[in-house]
Amino acid sequence: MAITLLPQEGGKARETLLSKRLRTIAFLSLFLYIAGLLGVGGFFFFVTNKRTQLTRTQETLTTEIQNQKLAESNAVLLKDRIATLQQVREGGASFRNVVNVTSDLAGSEPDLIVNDIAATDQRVQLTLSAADTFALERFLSRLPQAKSIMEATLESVTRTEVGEYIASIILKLQ
Amino acid sequence: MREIITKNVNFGPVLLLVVVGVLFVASIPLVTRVRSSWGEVGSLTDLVAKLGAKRDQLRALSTTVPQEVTLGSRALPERPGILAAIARVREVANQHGLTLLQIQVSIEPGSGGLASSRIRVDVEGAASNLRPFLEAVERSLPFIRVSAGRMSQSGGRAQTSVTLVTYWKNFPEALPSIETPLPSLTTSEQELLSQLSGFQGRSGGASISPTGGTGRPNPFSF
Repeated sequence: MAITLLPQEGGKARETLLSKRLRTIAFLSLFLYIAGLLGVGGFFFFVTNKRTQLTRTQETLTTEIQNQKLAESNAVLLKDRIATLQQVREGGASFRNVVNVTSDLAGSEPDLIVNDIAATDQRVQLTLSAADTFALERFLSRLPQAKSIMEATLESVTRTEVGEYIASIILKLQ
Repeated sequence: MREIITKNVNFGPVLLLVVVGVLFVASIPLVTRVRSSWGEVGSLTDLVAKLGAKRDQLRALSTTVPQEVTLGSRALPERPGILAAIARVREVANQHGLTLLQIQVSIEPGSGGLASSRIRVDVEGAASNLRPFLEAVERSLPFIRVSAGRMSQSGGRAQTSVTLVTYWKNFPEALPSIETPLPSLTTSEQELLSQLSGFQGRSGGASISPTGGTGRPNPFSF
């Protein structure tokens, strides 16, 4: 079997065309590469400048903030104090509120006197003396109107020798 | 034979393509570096914006905060404010014409740095003065909470035994990192702060002396 290495007539034209196309592609690629390199290089320059500028600004701001350390510690301290006090205040019902609510409710009832209020964080025991059962009933019917009272239970009612009624009421606070 | 191959095949464009390909591959680290730099610029921009906002807040605060800080520190001191609280309660009781019968103090170990002391106070006086007394006590510096109590009255005279709680807490020891935004007060905290400005502490320099003491003021002076 013999292989002809000599150029053929049709093959020469095809090779020339292929060579031309390869050359075009090669130059186009080179052009794209150079354009891309210039673009990336320009962008890199811009980014580097921007980063340097931002780093400088950051350093300046850091120094300025460090110079205002006192103001920052004041703000941190204030937040710490007020947030803690807020938690403490929301921690439980105040006896003052209990006294206010019960006194306001009893105050509008002339035939009723609050003899005793004993309150812990969530539980209140009231001892009342009422001239008659109607006054006591009116007071009890008004208790649910108080927003801070979750539950009211009449524990006991006793009639004294002089005809007044001593009632013991347990309140559960919200 | 070699001459024949060289004459018929043009290696120039192929070589150029290979070179361009190598250059493309060689440029990958540069592109990666540009990308990471761009990422750094993004994070730096965020940081600078945060720091700028913090700087502006600090500038605005530096003139207004100290009074509020003093108020907050008086309301919740670093050290036990028991004596100040007792003095204030005595002062308020006197102002409302009530007699202090007894004072008992117990200190409770706190959690999360917050410690408290319970002061049991027994007072006696006109029933109508007890409510204003309790309100005034709760509007005191240091902050006092009337947590529990017992009030009994007969014939316009009332006797009250209340448990008052005062608190104290160590001051923060370190500032947060520089990037951390400045803490701001919530609406309810701002309300509390404005309420605190109406609170009153013990009048200046009032000393505490035992009630009803009959001993000699100075035991060494005969």
